[in-house]
Amino acid sequence: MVLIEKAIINRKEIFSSTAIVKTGETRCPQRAPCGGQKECTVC
Amino acid sequence: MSKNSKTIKFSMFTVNYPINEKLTMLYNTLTSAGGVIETPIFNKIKNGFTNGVDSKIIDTLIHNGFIVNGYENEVASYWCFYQRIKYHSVYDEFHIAFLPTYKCNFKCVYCFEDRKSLETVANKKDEIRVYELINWIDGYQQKFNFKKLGIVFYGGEPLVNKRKLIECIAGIKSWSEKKNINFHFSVVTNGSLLEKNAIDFMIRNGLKEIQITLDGDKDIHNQRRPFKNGSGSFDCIFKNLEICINKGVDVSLRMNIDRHNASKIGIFLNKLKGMYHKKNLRLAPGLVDPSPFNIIWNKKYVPQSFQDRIKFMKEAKIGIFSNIEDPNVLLKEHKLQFGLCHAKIDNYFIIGPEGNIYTCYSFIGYKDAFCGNIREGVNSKFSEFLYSNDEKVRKCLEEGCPFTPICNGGCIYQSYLEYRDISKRVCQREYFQKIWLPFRAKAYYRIIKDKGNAVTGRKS
Repeated sequence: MVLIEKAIINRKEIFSSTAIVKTGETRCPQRAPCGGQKECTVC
Repeated sequence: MSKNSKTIKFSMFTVNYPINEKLTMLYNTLTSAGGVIETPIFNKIKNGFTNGVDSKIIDTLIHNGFIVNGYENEVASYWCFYQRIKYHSVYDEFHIAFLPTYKCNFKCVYCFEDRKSLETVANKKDEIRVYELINWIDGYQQKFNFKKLGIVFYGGEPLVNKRKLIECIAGIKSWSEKKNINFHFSVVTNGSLLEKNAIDFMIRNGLKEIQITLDGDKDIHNQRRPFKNGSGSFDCIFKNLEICINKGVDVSLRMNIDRHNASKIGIFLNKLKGMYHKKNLRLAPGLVDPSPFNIIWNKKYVPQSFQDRIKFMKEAKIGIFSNIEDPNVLLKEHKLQFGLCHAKIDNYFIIGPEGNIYTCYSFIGYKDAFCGNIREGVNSKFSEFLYSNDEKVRKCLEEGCPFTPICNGGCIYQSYLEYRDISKRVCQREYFQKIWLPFRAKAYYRIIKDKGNAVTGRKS
């Protein structure tokens, strides 16, 4: 197997209710600076 | 962990695509991990057998979330994670967008903002003062005790009201230093008014990223994004883009695509070749949105229904894909990862010059989407936006859609465009399955071919 992209989100963070939600990593699927879907259609 | 069919399974968020007979691409939409695996091994694990599979492969698959414990209820895990981000993000970072002005020095042919009515709405005397904005932010800080503040300056063209923009940045910077808060900001600009002094000021005071738009080569761009007086803006923007990149500013280069420029984007990308390999430049092509307003250009060049947009997206992607040689650049451009758009997050506001609150950029100025004013607080419309998305995500999870983490119920504005009803879902699964995934698989294949990696299982 060749791993091309490593996991960005650690699965432990998904379960742990005490894990700090790091906003920068959970904002906007396209990583747009607007943090949203400005003029996006499919994202 | 004992590795047999009872204890592990592929995650419901792991999608796969056959690259060829021997190789299968894997991507986990929740963790954003991706890779290529030998098809026989993939099939073996899929069928619940791990005997004889290199333990390093199993470890890599587990560590990156491709496979999970057999007993895990991933729907429940995901729902809790989604809710935590939705309601708890504000404890980490308060994130807002502020529009210093609705005014713009451009007259873009496809502009989706109803500028005439917006500019009359925001009379100078109604504009909020910087201290009002800071006091409002301070109220949230006292309530949630966040340690980071992120602001997007947007417009209109934010640099048209440079005085207000600079006053805002300086005022908020000073407040954040007193409160020991990490303040950063981004600017979504047309790029025409970025003078060196303004850039330097922003860099010194917490600039994180600038979004600049070029819609293609000089001729194409100038037809689409002229100054208000009709003259071309390309040369001016390109010069400022180079300045930003050379100063090390992270730049997101937006390209708005429709039927007018789609076939020529590739040629433009080739000309940019020397630039987009730089680490601080990210390509961000996107389709021009249809508009409920009667814009002649949009009727002619912008696919209106969602189905038409999917078809058009495929053509546009082919144009981009065939013109970018470096697959790593392509992966960056083609990136979609887990993330909640601000319209789906509590305490995330877009604030107009008069203090009006919205939750989505595309809805700025819409009466239907007016969520309050910072002087009076939010209204029930804000709750309606948040609630509408939960219902959609629940349906996506019930259907077991593996793309839920990169879609999260879809775009709220798209629902409005399709149905004039934000609570209705516009499902994007077909796009992800038939366009996004195969394109990403091609990029992965190019990477392993370029590197000459033998897919042996030893390299992971």
